[in-house]
Amino acid sequence: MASVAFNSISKTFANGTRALIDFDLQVHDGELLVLVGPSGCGKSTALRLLAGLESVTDGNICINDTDVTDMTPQQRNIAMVFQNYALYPHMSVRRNLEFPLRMQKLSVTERQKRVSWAAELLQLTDLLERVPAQLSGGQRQRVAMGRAIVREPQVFLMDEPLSNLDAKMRQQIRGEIAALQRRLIITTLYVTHDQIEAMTLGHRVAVMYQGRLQQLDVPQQLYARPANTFVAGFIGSPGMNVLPSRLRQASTGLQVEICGKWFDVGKHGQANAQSLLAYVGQDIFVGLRPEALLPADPAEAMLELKLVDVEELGHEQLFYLGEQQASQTQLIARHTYTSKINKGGAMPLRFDSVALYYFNSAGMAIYS
Amino acid sequence: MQARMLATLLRYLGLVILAILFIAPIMFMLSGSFKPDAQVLTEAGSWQAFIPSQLNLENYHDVFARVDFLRYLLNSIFITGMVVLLGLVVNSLAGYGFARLPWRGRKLMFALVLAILILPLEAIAVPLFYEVTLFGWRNTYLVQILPFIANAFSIFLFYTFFLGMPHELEEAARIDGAGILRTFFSIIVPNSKPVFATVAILTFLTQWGVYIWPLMVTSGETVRPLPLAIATFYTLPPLQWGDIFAFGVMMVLPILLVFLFFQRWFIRGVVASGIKG
Repeated sequence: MASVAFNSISKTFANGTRALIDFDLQVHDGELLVLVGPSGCGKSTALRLLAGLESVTDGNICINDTDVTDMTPQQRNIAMVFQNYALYPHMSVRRNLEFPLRMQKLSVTERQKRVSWAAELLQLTDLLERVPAQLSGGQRQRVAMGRAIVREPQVFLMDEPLSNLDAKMRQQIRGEIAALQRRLIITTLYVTHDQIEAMTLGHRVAVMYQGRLQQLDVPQQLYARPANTFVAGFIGSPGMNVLPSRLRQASTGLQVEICGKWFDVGKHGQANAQSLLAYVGQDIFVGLRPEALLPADPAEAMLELKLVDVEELGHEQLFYLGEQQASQTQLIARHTYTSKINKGGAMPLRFDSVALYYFNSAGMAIYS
Repeated sequence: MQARMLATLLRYLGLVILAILFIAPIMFMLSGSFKPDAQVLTEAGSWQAFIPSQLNLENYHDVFARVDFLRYLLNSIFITGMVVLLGLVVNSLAGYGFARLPWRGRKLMFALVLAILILPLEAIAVPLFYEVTLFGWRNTYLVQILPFIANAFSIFLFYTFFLGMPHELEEAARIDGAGILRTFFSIIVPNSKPVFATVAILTFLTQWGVYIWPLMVTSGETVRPLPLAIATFYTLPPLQWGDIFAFGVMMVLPILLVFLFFQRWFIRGVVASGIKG
C-alpha cells in the first residue's frame, strides 16, 4: 500500500530525445492509474523511471513520501509485469514465482506458502512444474503477474501487459487484472496505448502526448470534457472530429462555421455565450463526436457532405465525409444507419449544437 | 526435376570428397598407430596407409615405455582444464561488463581489449618470460595457467553474445531484487549455454596444443604438457613413426570427447555469435 508522486520530472536521453517534460503525477494509495498515449509519448519512460530502470534527469519521485529518485530498483520494493513477460526461460513456473522471494531471503516455508497462494489465485497450481516455453500466452501472462504479486510489493507496474495476446484473451485477462487489483488493493500504474484498456481498467486515466501530461481524470470525464484537441481526438473510437472554425455575431445571435456553413450556436454546446464571445473573429477549433453527427432526411438536413468512404463494423458503420470539392475526409460519422448512398454521393446530416465543443487557437478547450 | 537431382548429386559428391579429405589424416594416423614402423614407411605412399590391416598394440606399449605418458596427460588435463574453467568465469564477466554495464572509460577499455587481439604470444613471450622469472614462477602449473586465463578473443565472443540478449530478463531480475552479480550468475549464465560451449571448445583446442610457452618456462616432466612429450619423439632417437602415431591418437582423443560433449551448444553458439571456425 503506497502512494506515488512524480514531481516535475524531466527525462532527456543521451541522444537528446526529451521523453518527459516537467511531468507531475500523483497516484493515490490503492488506485489503478492508467497512463495512455500514442507510442513515443513518454508513458513507458515514466514507468521505467519509477521502477528505477532509468535515471531521472530532473525532478524527483516519491513513494509514500520517501524520495526514491536515487534508489536502485531492488531498494524500491516495486514489481513489474513486462510486455513480453520476461519470464526466466530456464526456470519452472514455481522457481519463477519463487525468485523474488529468494532475493528477499525468505524462509522455505514462507516461500512455499506465498507461491501456493499466488498459484491458487491465478489458477497456476497445475502448471507449477512446467517451464515458460510449455505455456500459452495467457498462462505466461498469469505467471508474470504471479511473480509480481508474490512479494507483496508497494507498487505494481504494468507495461502493456496485454499487447502480446489475441483479442479474446486480452478481454479475459483484462477482467482478471481488474478483479485482482480490486482484491489485493495494490497501488498500480498501468501503461497502454489502447484506450479501451485505459477506459475500462483505470480508476483514473492520464493521457500523455510528446512527453507531457495532457489530462488526468476519471474515464467518463475524459470523454465528456476533454481538456484539449489532442485528448478530444485520442479518446473515443474514432476520436472527435476537430475542424478549424470561426465565430461571428449575427442578428440571430452567435454563429459558428462548419464546413463553410454558418450555424446558430444555439444552446452553446459545452461553452456558454459569455465565454465564446471573447473569441468572435478569432481562429478557433470546433469539435463534434462521430456519434453526434447523424444521418438525416434530406428535408431536415443541416449539412450535406460527400460520402468519401464507408467502413462496415458489423453492428455499425463509419462514414468518411468531405466537402463536395474536397478529396480527403474531413469528418467521420458513426451510426447504425445503413446508407443507401453510393460513394461520392451527397449525404444529408444533422447534429445538435449542444454536442459541439469549442477549442481556442492553441487547442485548449473552452468550457463555461 | 532432373536438373535438381543432378544438383543434389553434385552437392553430395562435393561433401563426400570434403569428408574424405578431412578424415584421411586421422585414418592415416589411426591405422599407422597399429602397424610396425617398417610397414608404416613402406605403405606411406599407397592407399593401404589408410587401412588398419592389423591390431598391433606394440606402438602404444612403446609410448608408455619411453615417456611417463600418464603424467603428461594429467598435466595437460589440469592446465587446460584450469585455463578453460577460470577463463569462462573471467572472460564472461568481462564481456558482460563491456556489453551491459554503464561505466566511465568502457569504450576505451574495450578498444584496448580488441587491440590485444592482434598481438601474438610470440611478441610478448620474452618480456613475459622475464616477468615470471622475477616472480619465481618457472617450472610451475601457475605459470602455464595464469597468463592464458584472460583472453581477448573470448571476451569478444561473450561481448557479442550478451549484446544480443534482450534487456527485459535483466530488468526483471533487478526489479525482483537481484544485484548485478546475482543477475549474472542466476539469469544470464543459464541462458547463455551456446557462447559458454563455444568459448570452452575454442579455449580447449588452443590450450591443448600450446608448445612454445611451456618449452620456455618449464624443464623436466613433472609439470610439462603432452605437446612437449610428443616433441621428444622427433628430437630424441630412435625416430619411430608408429610410436608418434600412437601418441597422436591418444592425444587427440580428449579433444574428440570434449567436442562431442559440447557440440550441440557449440553449433548454436557459432550460429548465434556469427563467428566461423
